[in-house]
Amino acid sequence: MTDLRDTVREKLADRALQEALARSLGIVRDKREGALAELASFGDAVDAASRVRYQAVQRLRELLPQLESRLVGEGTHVLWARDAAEACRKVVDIARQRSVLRCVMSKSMVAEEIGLDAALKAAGTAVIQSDLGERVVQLAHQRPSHITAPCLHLSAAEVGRILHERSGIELSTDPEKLSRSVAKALRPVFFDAQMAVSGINMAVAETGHLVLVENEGNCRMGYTLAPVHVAVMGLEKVVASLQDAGTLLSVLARSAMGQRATCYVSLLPPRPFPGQERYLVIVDNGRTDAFGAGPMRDCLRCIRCGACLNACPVYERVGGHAYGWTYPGPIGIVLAPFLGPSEVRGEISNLCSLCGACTEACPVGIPLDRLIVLARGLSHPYRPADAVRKERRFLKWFGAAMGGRLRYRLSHLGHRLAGAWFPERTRQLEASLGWSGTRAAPRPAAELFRKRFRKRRELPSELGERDQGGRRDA
Amino acid sequence: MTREQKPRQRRSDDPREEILERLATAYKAADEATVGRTRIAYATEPGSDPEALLALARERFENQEVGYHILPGWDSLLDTLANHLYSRQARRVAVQSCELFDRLGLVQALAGRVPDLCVLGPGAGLDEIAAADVGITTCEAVIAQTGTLVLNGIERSTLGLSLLGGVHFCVAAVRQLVPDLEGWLSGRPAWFPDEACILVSGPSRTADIEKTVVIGVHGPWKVSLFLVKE
Repeated sequence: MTDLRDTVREKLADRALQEALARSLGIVRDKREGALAELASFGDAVDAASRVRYQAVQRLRELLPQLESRLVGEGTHVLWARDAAEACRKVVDIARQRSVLRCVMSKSMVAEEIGLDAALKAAGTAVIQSDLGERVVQLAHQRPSHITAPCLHLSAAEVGRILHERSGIELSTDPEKLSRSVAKALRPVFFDAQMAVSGINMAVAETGHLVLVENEGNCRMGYTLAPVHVAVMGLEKVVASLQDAGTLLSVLARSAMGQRATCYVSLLPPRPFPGQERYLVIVDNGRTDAFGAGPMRDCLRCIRCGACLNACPVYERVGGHAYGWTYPGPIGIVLAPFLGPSEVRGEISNLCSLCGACTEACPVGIPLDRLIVLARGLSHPYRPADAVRKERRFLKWFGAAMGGRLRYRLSHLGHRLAGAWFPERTRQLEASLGWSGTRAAPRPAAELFRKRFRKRRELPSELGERDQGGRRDA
Repeated sequence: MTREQKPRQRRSDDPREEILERLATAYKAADEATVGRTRIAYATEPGSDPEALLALARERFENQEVGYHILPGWDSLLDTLANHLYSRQARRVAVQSCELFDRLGLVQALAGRVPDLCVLGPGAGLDEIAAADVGITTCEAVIAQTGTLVLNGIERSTLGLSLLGGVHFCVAAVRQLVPDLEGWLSGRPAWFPDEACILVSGPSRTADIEKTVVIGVHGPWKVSLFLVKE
């Protein structure tokens, strides 16, 4: 496995990636601001949406059987899967029983998470991704780099080259020409497919509706034309009522793409269309672990809008592939301890500067920065042994320096004197510890905090409070 | 080297039982607090005033590239539709089977008004609909806040009318305008449990390549709404 530092260095040095990320994320942020300005208050909308998601997660054990009963009663088959292997096996069984040779798959994060594409292919079913971005990364044998924009890391020239080499589409750098060419090539595939696989944005327990959100129409094409429709959902995607679904739809597109609404939202009733079979596969794959993990349960509120990725300064520099698994960005860090493969659980939480931009952007109020701190705690058993040893050594030294008033004062004094007398050597030493290699470490203050604090306590109370208040606000 | 992830012990042969049991076990220690729901408010709230709703909807349509035509009455609908089909040089048009279009005699009227036009009525298959230049549907409601058309249907062929052709024409009455989705879903109509509901907020689009918006991908490249004042 590549070391995380090497991966980050490689991504930072990739000029094409840096340009692609800066261009795309800039556009998304601008559009999002415009879309959010149409709400009376983003804070109030977050409050409304987070109440809906909070309540839905708290009531999972009640809402899931309610959803199942609505669906089964009307003829939709409901299958449950504890893990990725079980979920894939169940979908492969459906394909085998119906001798499915060709299947269209619309963009689904949970299908990506469980590796459904590869499982179907291994079982002899050809899988064609029908979302434009997903199709490009499928042809490039890559992973999506963003939750809502799978080929965000690629320039039009790279997309054109991939489509030309792997799919025979005429070489071009024009996004419009490329998009239309892919759509034209996929048109007969939809009519030919024997099965359509999709994700689910929400499932409504009260009525049994499955809610699918998209812009291109590929998902609609899939479930409209194929005789078998398999929908795969993470178990947390259930909501209590249609009104709750409406609340979430009002913030989802605005947060995700800066649109007030996506072009298409399908609310499929619990009764399948005449002449069609429908399956819903409810996947756990670590979600119940997150449910039982105290405050980490909040990560199940996520609606996969990708707003936290768009706001994250680390994602903006390293892109989605640096995170090493399906879910990149801040939400990827908090989901990794439960849903992620063991090889990413160790270091992924270090891809965060704890600036809190993700928390401010989240439309369902997930305290992502707080959860990332907790995720760092959970990452310990999966971290490389030498990194853990180094950290332990440092903490032992740090603990010794901080372990008493005298030692604390002496370490401070030592640092200040070293900084004043040997500034260059001190900087070199700090850089060798790996912390200040790419940024300047702040110089020690001329006056110790403790001394300043003591002074402030001696000020007249009114002045002292004002001073302290001013500092808090700053 | 990282330490290996331990495979989870299976508690039951039935995944459903095991998943629900895991949730129930974790729930015992959980916070039982319930929170009320609040409604999302918008910067522009037109209320139920038809003129304000129409003004807001028009602004949204323009912004989302939904063509709209406001007609004074049903009498003018047939001629307007025929003119649009003629100007687009449409050769095949697929029409939804519904009470309104039956009452207006839409299939016969279009066939009579546009020369060489093949009008596919009820019973057209998905392949035939896909070969049509234009699909014509009604809708259940028009959501002003998001410029969204609410379509419904039980049959896949009905839903295909707004998806498979290059152009989608939709007919609605001004009285069908409603303020927002959340409110409309809370007072859902009687057909809702059985029929699929599709919310259409403009022509099919993508911005997957360099965030450049391309209109008309898998679905129609043009959506036009004919809003009739009664």
